[in-house]
Amino acid sequence: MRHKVAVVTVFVLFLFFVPGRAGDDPVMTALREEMARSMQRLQLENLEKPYFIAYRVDDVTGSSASASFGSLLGSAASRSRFLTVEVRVGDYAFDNTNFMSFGFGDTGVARMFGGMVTLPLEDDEKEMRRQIWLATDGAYKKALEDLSKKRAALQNKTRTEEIPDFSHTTPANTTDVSPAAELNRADAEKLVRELSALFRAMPDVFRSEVSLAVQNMNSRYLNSEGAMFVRTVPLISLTARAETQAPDGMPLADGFALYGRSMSELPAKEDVAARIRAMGGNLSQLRNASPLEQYNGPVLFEGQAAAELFSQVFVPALLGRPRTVTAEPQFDQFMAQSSSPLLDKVGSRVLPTFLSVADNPGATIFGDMKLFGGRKVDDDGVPTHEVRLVEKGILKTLLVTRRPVRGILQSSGSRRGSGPGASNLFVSAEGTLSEADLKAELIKLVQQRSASYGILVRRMTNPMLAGDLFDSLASMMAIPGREPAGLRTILLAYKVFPDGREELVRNAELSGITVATFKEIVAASRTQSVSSAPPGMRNISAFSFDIGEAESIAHPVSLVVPSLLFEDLSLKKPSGEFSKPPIAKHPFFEK
Amino acid sequence: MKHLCRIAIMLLTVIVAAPALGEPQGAKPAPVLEAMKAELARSMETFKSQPVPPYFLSYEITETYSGTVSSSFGKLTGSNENRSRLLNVDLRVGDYALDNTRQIRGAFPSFDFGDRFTFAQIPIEDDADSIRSILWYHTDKKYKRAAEQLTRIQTNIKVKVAQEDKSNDFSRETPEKFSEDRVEVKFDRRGWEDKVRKYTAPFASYGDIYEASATYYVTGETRWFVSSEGAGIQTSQAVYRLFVSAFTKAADGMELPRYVTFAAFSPEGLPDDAAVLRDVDKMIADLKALREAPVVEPYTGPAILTGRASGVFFHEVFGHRIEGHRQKDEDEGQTFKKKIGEKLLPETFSVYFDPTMKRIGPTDLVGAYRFDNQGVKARRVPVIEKGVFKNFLLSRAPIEGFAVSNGHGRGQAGLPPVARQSNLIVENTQPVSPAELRKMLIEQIKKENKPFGLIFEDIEGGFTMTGRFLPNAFNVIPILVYRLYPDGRQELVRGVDLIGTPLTAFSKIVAADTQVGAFNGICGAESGGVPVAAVSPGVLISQIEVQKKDKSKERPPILPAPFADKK
Repeated sequence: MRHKVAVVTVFVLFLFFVPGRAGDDPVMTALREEMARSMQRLQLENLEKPYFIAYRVDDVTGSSASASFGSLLGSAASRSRFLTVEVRVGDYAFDNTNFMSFGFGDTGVARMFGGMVTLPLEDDEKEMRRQIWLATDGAYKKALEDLSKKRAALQNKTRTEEIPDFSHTTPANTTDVSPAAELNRADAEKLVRELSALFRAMPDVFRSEVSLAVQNMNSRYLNSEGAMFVRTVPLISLTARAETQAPDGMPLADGFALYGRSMSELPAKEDVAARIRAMGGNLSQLRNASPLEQYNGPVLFEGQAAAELFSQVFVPALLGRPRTVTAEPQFDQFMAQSSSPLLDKVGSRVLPTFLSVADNPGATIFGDMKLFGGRKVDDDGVPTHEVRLVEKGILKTLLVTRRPVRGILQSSGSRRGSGPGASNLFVSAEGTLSEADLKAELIKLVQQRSASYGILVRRMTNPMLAGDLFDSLASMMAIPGREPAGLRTILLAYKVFPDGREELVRNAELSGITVATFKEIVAASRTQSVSSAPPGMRNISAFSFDIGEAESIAHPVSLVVPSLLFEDLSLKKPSGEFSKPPIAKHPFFEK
Repeated sequence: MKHLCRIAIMLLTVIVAAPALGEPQGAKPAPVLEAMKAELARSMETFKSQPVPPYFLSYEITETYSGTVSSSFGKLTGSNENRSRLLNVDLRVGDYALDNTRQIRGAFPSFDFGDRFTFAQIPIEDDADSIRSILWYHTDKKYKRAAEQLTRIQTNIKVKVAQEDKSNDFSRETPEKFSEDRVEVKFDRRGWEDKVRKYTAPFASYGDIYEASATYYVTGETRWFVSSEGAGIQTSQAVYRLFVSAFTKAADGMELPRYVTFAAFSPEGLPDDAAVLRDVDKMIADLKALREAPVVEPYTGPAILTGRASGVFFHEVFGHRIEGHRQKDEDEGQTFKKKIGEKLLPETFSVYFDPTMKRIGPTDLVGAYRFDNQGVKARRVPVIEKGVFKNFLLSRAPIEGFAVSNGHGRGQAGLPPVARQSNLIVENTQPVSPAELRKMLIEQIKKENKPFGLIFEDIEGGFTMTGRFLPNAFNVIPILVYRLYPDGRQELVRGVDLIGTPLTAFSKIVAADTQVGAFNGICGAESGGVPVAAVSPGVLISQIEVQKKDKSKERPPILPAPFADKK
């Protein structure tokens, strides 16, 4: 035993040693010093030493302003600095991770949650090192505890699969820096006031809000294998949301987000105003539309609706998460459900043969539309690259981090926050169908069935951008690959009659749609539309308690998706009771 | 219901008080108030035609300006400013006797998520149209919920046995009209960034102090209240606080904290740098002494609680149990419900709550206010007179024998108020000198043949359970405890919490000294965090009980501090 420990020590010494570089800032120096000390000497009695340590320091500066009906709701600026520590004990094949362990619990004297602590805002090496020291100590103790619990949980079980807990990779040094986004607070306040005041001309909207936020995230990463990165992600986001109720009480809500790396990349104020007016106009029309009764038959998703549908149902299944070991048998089933339904489908057909899917973090533009999901390096320090996920309908691989999954043992450079995430996702179709052709195809299907109409969906809402908090909470609880309870996000749906005429219907809800349904897509357009939106909690395991997620939730994923025609889907109106519309009239419009 | 109450310590050192709540001034009512009145009138008018019209509606909007700077070991960790406005709507259907707020009995205890966990944000600009649009939206939601609640309550009354307490659901009160100017909040952000850095810098040379932080909070709260009964109130108040916190760890893993807090109604009311730094030095010395202090085993015997410690003791043991709404809730322990007129303490003791008292000696009392969150005028409420129990703390929820509010309906901004404490004042007519009290403790030790007695010098806070299901007990968490031996020798110890049950603990209070101490803190319960104060002389208790403190099993850090690492 003693012999083995000695060997490990030498090996580790060899691995961790990264010569310091001139020009390091105090933060990097502090990380490097504590990394060296911990890799050499951090050991509790005869227990294992860490075999891997990673540090990430995130400097987040931002400001935001929000307004409703022409008045500011709030306006604030903030600056914070966090350290995330990852300590692994054991070895690459079997370590303390992939074990269900809540983010809290004893972590020495460090006040950590999800591996995070606050660092001083000032670049003082001594005080940085104090916090890094305490956080590493806490993370190491927790890692030891998790490893022993994990061994205990498995000692009387036979594992049918031996997948390593951590994959090897070549350490890289990446710099991905772009200029910070600047936002003048007074200008931001003025803009949200003006844009939110547009709702003063929309009597049918009951509640609305416009907000503008800038966030500059500056991350510095270092791991004991020698990988490091410096990455800045500037982001400006403008969001608008509105809600109302149909006369029968059914809720109608919409919201959108526009992004830019700088203010000049955001659409002009007049264009944003036009979108807000259109949003209000749609809600107004929807109030007067009839709800859709039960419908079974062909459904065409056009443009943004196709992208949002793909994002909500198919993308979560493309994320490969390892099976988590748990000490509690009652959680086993949940754990099994949280793995991707596509995990064992590599090599099999998951989409029609005319569709292909790729994730391309390096792309920044499509046509004249900016893409916002890309970055040069992922949160494991792995340089990113294009990943061809589905080729001609056949699943090739999934997006994975350095935590391998069955059949996929190498990282695809897709770690966002604590788990895998998409960046810029491209769905492309072979063939020559235009949007108009696709509508003709829909009508053809309707006629084949001798049905009186088909359904065309033009807009789906993103659960993070529309509706109230409770709707978002419900969507957070959804398990990847399974149908979320009450997926209620179709906004603009139309009955399409054989003569091509369209009639708006409201409150159509998708029922029974799963990843498998996408195999039944019968046609797609050759043109693609671009849509950037927050990926939402849906893409994150229900059992992930990592606070570091916050950034990956807010950060948009861009999708480039053609319009999609499904041969057979079920739509119905929502069930349950709805509160009646307000008794009094809106005070502003009563005057 | 467990009331976790973190009352932090207020040292009575060199606090220079300055006038805080100015005298009422004839200020012009804010546009916010006008908007509230207009929307309130319109709502009452519209809902009149409903089958179940509201009989009462009130709006309270609280504007909170907050400035915060914080440091850790001499370096800045945060610096923020924020302004927000939150709305609380009280809409009642039914009548004063029976309305939608009546407890549904026998049901699974439920938090009203709609009320307790949603904050309604109001624009921070004085634009009547946008403010009214949000008032309208939330009034409608609230009305629908109230009507549903009343239906459920009416059914519940039919199927359950008669309620023990037959009092009304809502009291009739004089609608108050008052307006004072908005307080000018002074936030010298850069200056305070330097100060908080300075206050935690002395900790930086210690590798065995694991957290050392200082936070300066400035809060300016302006409240507007209107009701369908005709109330119209605008009040405004600023509080300035400084909180210094540090902890170390004993070799056995026990975490040992020290806190110092200052609060005042003006920045000038806070101590100067030299005074704070003296306290910081004392904290460092105490932490070192605590690390080496012996652990006390569970013990029962006589003890002295110094003024500050005794203030928290009264707050937990007594204060929470005389909050009015707990006397009506049939899941509550109702310890003191039938004790009106009974002698609870020696004749020399009186206890009152006084939100109109802005300071005692040099210390500002943060539990002061002009009107409670239901628009009822603040007043002094004697609860124990010459040892005899007289009164409860009351919101507008009456209880048997107490039909009106006494101005203690309180809640955090945006949350529905319930009966809560304000400034708790314990007085004694025959105090002895602290030395004399100590002598009395030694006599008691000898009389009972105990090896030692305990002196509770400083207390972090405490919590208490007031329900029926769990034992109706309290736990007061001390920070500095001394063992006093019969020969007068005193020794710092660690590792115990002061525990007990309310009636027994009260019956053992014997005497008080002349050294009055005051706490300012934030107390948390159903209606959120509210500022409170507790003022008391040191008291001698003939018998207390201490239990082992819940202790961390974690070892101190494995590696030495980076700056102390000689390797």
